[in-house]
Amino acid sequence: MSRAADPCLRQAIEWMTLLNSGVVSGADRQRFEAWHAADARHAAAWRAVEQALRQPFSAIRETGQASTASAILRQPPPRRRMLLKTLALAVGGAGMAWLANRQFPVTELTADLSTGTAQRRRFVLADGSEIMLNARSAADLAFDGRARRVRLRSGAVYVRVAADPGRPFIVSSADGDVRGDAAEFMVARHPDSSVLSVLAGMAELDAAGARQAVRQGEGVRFGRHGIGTPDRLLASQAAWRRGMLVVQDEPLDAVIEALRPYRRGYLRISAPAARLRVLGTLPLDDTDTALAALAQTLPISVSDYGGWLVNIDLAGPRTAAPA
Amino acid sequence: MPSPLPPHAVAQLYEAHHAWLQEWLRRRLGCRHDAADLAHDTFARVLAARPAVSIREPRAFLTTLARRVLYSFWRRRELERAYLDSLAALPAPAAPSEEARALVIEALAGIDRILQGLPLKARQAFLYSQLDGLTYPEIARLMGISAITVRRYVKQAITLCVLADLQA
Repeated sequence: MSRAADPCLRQAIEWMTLLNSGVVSGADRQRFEAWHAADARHAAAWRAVEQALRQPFSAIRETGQASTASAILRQPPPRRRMLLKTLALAVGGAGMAWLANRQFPVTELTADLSTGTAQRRRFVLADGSEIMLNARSAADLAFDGRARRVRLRSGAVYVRVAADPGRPFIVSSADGDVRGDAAEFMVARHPDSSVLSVLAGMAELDAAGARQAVRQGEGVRFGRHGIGTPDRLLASQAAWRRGMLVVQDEPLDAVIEALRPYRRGYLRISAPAARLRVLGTLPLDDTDTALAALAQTLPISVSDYGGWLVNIDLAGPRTAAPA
Repeated sequence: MPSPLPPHAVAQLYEAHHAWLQEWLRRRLGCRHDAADLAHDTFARVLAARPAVSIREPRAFLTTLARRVLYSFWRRRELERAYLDSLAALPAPAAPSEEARALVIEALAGIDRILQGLPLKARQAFLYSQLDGLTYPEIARLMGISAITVRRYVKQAITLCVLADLQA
């Protein structure tokens, strides 16, 4: 990238921008001529910029279809939702996903487990069960002769329970207890409720004095006010364990809340932008791309203030392009 | 900047994972021919890629590149569809030859790739300037923004064109 920082090239870009304006004064022309003639490096940089700008458009100009091409390229990507998906596909994988595949054996019967920003960790417990913590999550273990307990203090936890008829496996959050004896499920704490998603087998939920069995492929929200109705869409909330955020028609602020544990710095969202509905799949391990995908598919502006603060707001009104 | 992978490493990668990658692409595309083409494109990118670290997980690395190839493939189809739709509106004698069409589609995809990451308004302002030949004051009036902003947008886009040309 060193050539891009070349001062001659930067000046040439500046001149090209000026001369393309369509309203150049005679004085500007003369200053340009003087700059161009002053140094062979200026002339070379000018040639490079001219070529970089001509080459991509030459076929379109030669076939006389400039205005057709312009109209097509000026459109925002038409199939917004599908594009969001493909964009997400375009970046998945790599990133920090390798972290998820490293296992940390836990031999103690009590332990405090936690993860930092953008980290997922998988632990294999002494009984053969497996648990995975989402980013910025914390859980305590308490195993004894009668029960295996995991207390979720923050974030989200996925568990695959190894069967042990004598000792139930219980994950508790502030909102209730989930018991699964040979199941795979995920519990996530949100600001005012929790969500249970069952990936395999069956789990029993005990919250606000009510009890309910939740089957494979279902998710349910629970909290002080009781247990919600089972919802298949909620089941996809466990996709973080594969590094994905699957959003099924949810408000943008829920999406941003899910991205926060994966990003250093603060993501701020305005109230009107928070209400936009989103559908699609986003990569958790690359929040820059996730935000770019959102900006490309929703009428929002995403401003990055040096990486530590990102502000998301509704974009200003768009001017309709002429036909 | 780290150097490209040595050719024999690519050959090993190809040997060990080509069939797997092609099958991975076929599941996403539902077409064996497209999958073969895109697998080829993916390895072409491997040759050009400059991985900062040695490839510890070749399949994760390959799928990351393959996903980019898939994205370009789909985006290109979308542009092609939009272009053919706009031609359908023309009277038959005005229709360009097959070859001219292919060149235009190629160019559309190329420009789209260069301008990826540019905000929509900047992209529009630049295209009005570059392809419609409008002046900055005309673009400013059309888009309801200031001429200074148009100039800033055009400069951003020109910079992207120069960067793309340097990297080509």
